[in-house]
Amino acid sequence: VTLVDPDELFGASDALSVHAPLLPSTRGMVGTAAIGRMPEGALLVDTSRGGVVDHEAVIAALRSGRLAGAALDVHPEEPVDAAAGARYLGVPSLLLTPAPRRCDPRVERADLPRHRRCGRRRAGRDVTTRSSSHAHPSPGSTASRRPSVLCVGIAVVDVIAHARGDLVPGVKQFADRITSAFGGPATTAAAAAARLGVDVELVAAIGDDDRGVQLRAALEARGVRTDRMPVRAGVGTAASLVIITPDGERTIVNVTDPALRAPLDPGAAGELIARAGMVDAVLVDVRWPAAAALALAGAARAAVPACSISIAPSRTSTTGCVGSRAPRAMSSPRVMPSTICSSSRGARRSRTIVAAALDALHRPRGRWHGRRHARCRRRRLA
Amino acid sequence: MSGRPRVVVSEFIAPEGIARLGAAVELVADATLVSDRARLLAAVADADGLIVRDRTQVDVELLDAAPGLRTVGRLGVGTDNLDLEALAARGVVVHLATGANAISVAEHVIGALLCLSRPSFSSSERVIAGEWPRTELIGRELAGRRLGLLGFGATARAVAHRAAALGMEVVTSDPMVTDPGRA
Repeated sequence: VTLVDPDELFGASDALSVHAPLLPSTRGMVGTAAIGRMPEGALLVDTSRGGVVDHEAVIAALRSGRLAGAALDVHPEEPVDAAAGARYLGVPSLLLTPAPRRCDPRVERADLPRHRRCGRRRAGRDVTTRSSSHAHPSPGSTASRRPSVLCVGIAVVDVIAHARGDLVPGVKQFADRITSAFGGPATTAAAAAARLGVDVELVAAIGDDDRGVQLRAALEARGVRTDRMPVRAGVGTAASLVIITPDGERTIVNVTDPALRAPLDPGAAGELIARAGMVDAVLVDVRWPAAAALALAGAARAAVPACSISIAPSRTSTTGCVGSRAPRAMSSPRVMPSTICSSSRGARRSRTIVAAALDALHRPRGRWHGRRHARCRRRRLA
Repeated sequence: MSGRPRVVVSEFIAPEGIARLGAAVELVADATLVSDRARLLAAVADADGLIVRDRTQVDVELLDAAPGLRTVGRLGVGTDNLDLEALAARGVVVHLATGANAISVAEHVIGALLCLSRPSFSSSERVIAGEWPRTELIGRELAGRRLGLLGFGATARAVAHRAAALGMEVVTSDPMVTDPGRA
């Protein structure tokens, strides 16, 4: 099987079989233009979902001989009534079927173990949660191999001042100490996961400045893999000044170049999707929506549990970011993450977030209430 | 409500499948519910579980009518008829039968390709009528021709496997896939 781009697919296929989900981006995808690119006399089979193929375009192409035959198993409006069916009358070389498929019980039994062996795809996938038996097939298999997690989001260098008194504008303030740390929900989560012994990779964009070098080195030193972190030329790595007053209140001054949240180039995007399908769990921070959507898509595609860290100050929301702040791709059925959870007040509770995310994978129910957050331990930059 | 969980099946499911639910649940299996919204809403009022195919719209209206609903089973693939956000917001767990009908659909695709390549498969009436339309119904071979798969999920992979066995060359395009692997 050769992977080609969509143009080549239409242009070079003597027969085209449609297996795309119905999404806003795929509606009418196989229409007059696409069929026009196919070789003269090609065949078309659609068993996907009504709406992906434009039936009027197919009828016209069959009448003109552009298509030598078409089999339409799914329809924009189902069931097709006699009035709707009339448009197909007299169209040559057209097979119309009403999606009469069923799963043969005998085949199903023979098939399931093979699915388990060759990939993560399983029948009976659970969209909103996973039982512990799904997450960990047997104690032996987890003991023999480190679990792997992919974290996607933003990376920030924090400079933290522990002020002695309350902030007064316009007045010089004194601090007990000023420390450096790295921040960003996905980044702190990655470091925490590494500490828990997880094989963890972080994908978050940094600039080509000293801060970026420092940040990367600090992550590597903690066992977080950073090979796929994009480095944006001429851009400063995101940074925050954090001032913590004795009462525990914090004030943050952040700088983030928009280029750090720009979409990945196609090659890197493809890699991210593929990587998300190969790990045991995916954790995204929606502050970089373009990359988060790709990772969730890759995870959903391979039935890998995924978790998004909410940035909304929701208290015990179970919907988290999905659908509210997330781009369309995240809320589309195809890329629904397997596990949905949200942290309450997002940012600095990395260890708790990871622990709870891992915990959520074992829970029988989809609901995850925000835990009482442990006091965050900051990791100083080396 | 009795002690057993109450499960509503609102579309046709093969008897073998229904039988597997066993006596553990209190079952309401009525394939006509999908076309009668009012009865469906009444049936799910005290349901713990709901099993649908692709026609039952599991939306906010239905969820409002089913306050006790804990899980939804979707026989088949695709979730166009499920309001996943509303389900997640209420903590209703959704189970998909991903891949369950992949082979069935793949065989359907191969069958359709063979039928479309061989017009003689629909020549019974003309043979009965004494037309003997032998030369015009020769058709073409699939072997050596190129099959394009738009999308490369479980079903498409099952199609690829079978098409390769017929000697077809298989190409695919799928934004979610970077390595199609072996068919």
